[in-house]
Order: sequence, then structure tokens, then C-alpha cells
Amino acid sequence: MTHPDLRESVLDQLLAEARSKAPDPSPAFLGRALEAAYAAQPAPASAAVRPVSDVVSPALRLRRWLSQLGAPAGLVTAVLAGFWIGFAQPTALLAPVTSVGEAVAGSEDVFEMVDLIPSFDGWLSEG
Amino acid sequence: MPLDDLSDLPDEALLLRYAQGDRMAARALVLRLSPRLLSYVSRVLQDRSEAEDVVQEALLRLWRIAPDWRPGEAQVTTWLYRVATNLVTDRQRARQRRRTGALDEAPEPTDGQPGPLARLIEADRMAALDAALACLPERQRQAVVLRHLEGLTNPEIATILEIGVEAVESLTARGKRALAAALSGQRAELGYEDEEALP
Repeated sequence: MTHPDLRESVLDQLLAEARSKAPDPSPAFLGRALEAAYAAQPAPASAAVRPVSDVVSPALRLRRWLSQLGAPAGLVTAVLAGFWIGFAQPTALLAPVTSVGEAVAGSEDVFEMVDLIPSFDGWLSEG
Repeated sequence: MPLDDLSDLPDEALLLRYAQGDRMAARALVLRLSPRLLSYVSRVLQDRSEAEDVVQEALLRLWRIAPDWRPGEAQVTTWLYRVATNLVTDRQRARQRRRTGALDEAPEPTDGQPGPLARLIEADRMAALDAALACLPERQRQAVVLRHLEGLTNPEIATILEIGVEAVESLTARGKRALAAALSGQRAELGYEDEEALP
């Protein structure tokens, strides 16, 4: 029996033939398409001029901010150290010296107060 | 990087390079995507000049969205086919509106004269196929071209046409039957007369 329509295999053959004969774009069309692509393309990241705030990472910005605090921080430290030296107990200051003396002499009684420059009154009376 | 090396990259990777300003990626994408898209749109619209305009517009939309493209969300080709399909649909509707106005003034066809399809069909098989495709309803034509001429899968077509896979299967089946029916009277011109006579 002959089907009134094309047989499916024949239609498939025709479609396969059409698939292999897809129309090629003309060079003129490709040129226009490429031109449009270039025109719409964002500039390369390296060539683009961007604001500094966008370029610098947050970590670097924090480092820069902290480095600007250097001078005031040093001043504050010096003032605090001065106050501490002025108000702190002398023993606290002598402790390291005592330790050095013990280490050198090997005894706890290493300090002997010697008046290297006697007072003027004493010199007059004793001659 | 030479253009040959870019040919191994997937569309999405090329699009990301395009967004970063890589001109070679732009060239590779145009050369890769234009032929496929033009083939599809030409078949559906049946007008080469209009098809080129549609492809240009679809590509332009792709270039614009490239910087905001989210990897893994959609395939570049599927997205592009969908945009092109929407543009084609707009153009076909505009054509229909123009044609409706023109038909009112057109003379009635007289008996014995060949119909529009017969006048369009020439000895060339491709011209016959194009004419038969032109007789299909819009959605059937889009589905048949995407399935049988562009070689896309049914799920891909479903995404492009924004319908279910079953609806795609139905559209392509009905489209093929309609194609066969439209071409059945042209067996001799198509060179299939002898084959059809076989039992």
C-alpha cells in the first residue's frame, strides 16, 4: 500500500540533507557581528582606569590606616612610659639589677653603699 | 591565546573571557554561534536579511548580559536560541498583521491555478522543504527546525520554547506529519517518486 504522505524515512532523509546544508553566514555579516561584539565588549581589566578605592584591597587599606597612626601612637607610648617610671616603686626597677648582681657575685649581700664623693662637711672635719 | 586553543573552551568560558575584554574570545564566539543561530532563524523566518537582523540583535543581547552572566545557570546556546525565538515570534506576528491588511486587497485565487505552496516549490529539495516548513504553524515550525535541523534535544527545546517536554514531543510529531503531508504532492519534484512506489 502506498501512503499518501511521504514515508517517514524519506522525510528523515530530506531533513538530514537539509541539516548538512545549513546556510553559512556571509563574510559581510560576520564582519558586522564581530564589529558589534567588539563595540559592546567591556574594556580589559588591566587597561581600565579605576578609582583607587576600588583597586586597593580591604586588608591593604587597613594596613595603611594603621601605619598613619604610627607617630601619635609613639607619642602616647612615651608619655605612658614616663608616667610609669615616675610613679612606680623603685624596687620594681632595682629587681633586675639585683638579679644581675646575684648572678655575678653568687651572694645575696652584694650591695655595699660606698660614698665615692664624700660631703664637704665631712671632708673639712676629717681632713 | 591563539584562536585554535579557544575552540576547545566551552561557550560559557568564552563568554566569561569576553566579559573580561578578551577580543579573541569575542571572535571565537561570533564564529561559533552565528552559523547555528542564523541557520535556525533563516529556516523559521524564511528571509535571510531579516534573519541576519534577528541574529545580530540576539547576539547583542548576549554581549550586554555577558558581564552579569551567572555560570552554571543556563547554557549559552539555549539562552541564545530562546532570545532568537522570541525575536522571531515578534517578527512573525508583525508580518501576520501586515499580511492581514494586504489580504483584504488581494484578488481571490482562481481554480486551476497552482496554490501558494506549489508556486513556491521548485525542483530543489531544500526550497521545497523550506516552503513546506513555511506552511507549518509557528510553534510547530520552531520545534521541528530545532529538533530535526538543529539537532537539539527535547529538553533543550522545552527550555527554549518555555513549554514542557511532552508538548515538544507533540509539536515535533505533528509538525513532521504536516511536513510529510505538505510534501506528499511533490514526490516527483523531490526525486522520491520511485522510492515511494516501493511496497
